[in-house]
Amino acid sequence: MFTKKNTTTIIKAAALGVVVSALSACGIAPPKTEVAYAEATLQSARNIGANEYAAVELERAKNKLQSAKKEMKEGNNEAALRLAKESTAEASLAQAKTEAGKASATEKQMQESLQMLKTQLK
Amino acid sequence: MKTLTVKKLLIPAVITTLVVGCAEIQTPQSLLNAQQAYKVAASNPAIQKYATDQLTEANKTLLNAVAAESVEDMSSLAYIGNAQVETAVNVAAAEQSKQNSIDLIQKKEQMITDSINSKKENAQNQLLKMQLNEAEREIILAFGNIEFVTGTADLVPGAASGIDLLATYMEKNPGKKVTLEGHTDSTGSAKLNKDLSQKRADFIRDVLISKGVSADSVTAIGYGQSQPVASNSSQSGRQKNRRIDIKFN
Repeated sequence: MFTKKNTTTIIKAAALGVVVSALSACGIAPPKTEVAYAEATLQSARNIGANEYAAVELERAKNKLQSAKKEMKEGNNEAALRLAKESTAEASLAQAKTEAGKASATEKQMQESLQMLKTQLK
Repeated sequence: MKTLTVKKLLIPAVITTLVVGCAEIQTPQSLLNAQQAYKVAASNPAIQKYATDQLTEANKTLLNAVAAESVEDMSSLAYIGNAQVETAVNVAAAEQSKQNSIDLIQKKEQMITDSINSKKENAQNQLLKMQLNEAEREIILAFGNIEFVTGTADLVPGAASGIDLLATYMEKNPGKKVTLEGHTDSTGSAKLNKDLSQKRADFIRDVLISKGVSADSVTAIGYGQSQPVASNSSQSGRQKNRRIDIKFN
């Protein structure tokens, strides 16, 4: 049934398959959508004032986004995809931190105002 | 034939290497840290309450990190998971602050309302007190005009307006108590004068009760000639001493 030639062909095909699949793992499409999403998330963070409340996170998100763009340009799409997602997560964090900072500032104001009222009503 | 054998042996070896290679990805410290951060956040009731979605997202990312097939993916997912945990923490903090602010506003409103009510009540009480004082002064003044026929407990006609005022006032202010103090001049014996002053105070008390005033709220005391307010040596002085004083309490 299995001749020597047959078997060799099967082995060759299998080896080729391994190589192809190994290559295709690296060969994803440029993550344009993810990069655009990261950019939009970063812009939203800037818009709500993250530079005041979450400067560190904002800077990190910005750097990750720049790196993502660079990697995508050089064809390192996997790295670009990872960086874009990291940038998005960082920008989302910057947004949350900004909201928390603002809410905390408002709460502090409320407390002061209540304290003042207490003094006035005494 | 020889080559074939070698190749046959090679295939399982390659597979083994691949499998071992996957299993050997060492969990990076960043993932351990992110998992620990998630554990802390997930056990915090405020974060559970206010950032449920963010916690779920972080958990999903960290599970994907554990299942990642390359070190790069694992590290990246750990990084993202960590950021998502921190996001959850901040979302919860923001919500908590907002809730606190709402509570503070309500507290402030309550304080203002309480203050206004208390001031209103004070003003009303003061007004009421002033009105009472005014009415009581009027009654006391009217009682100054009450005259008795000398030696009797009979009122001089037309001198009884104070009693009507007092009766009306007592009806309008249940719970008010009044003391009628009878006094005489020094004409006659002290014993007789004491009896007479008691009789006169009692007489007025009876009139008040007959007009519907509760017996419990009126006390009558006769002091006789013991507490003169003027000299008994003149006609006008003696007239001042024959009197009914009223005290509200």
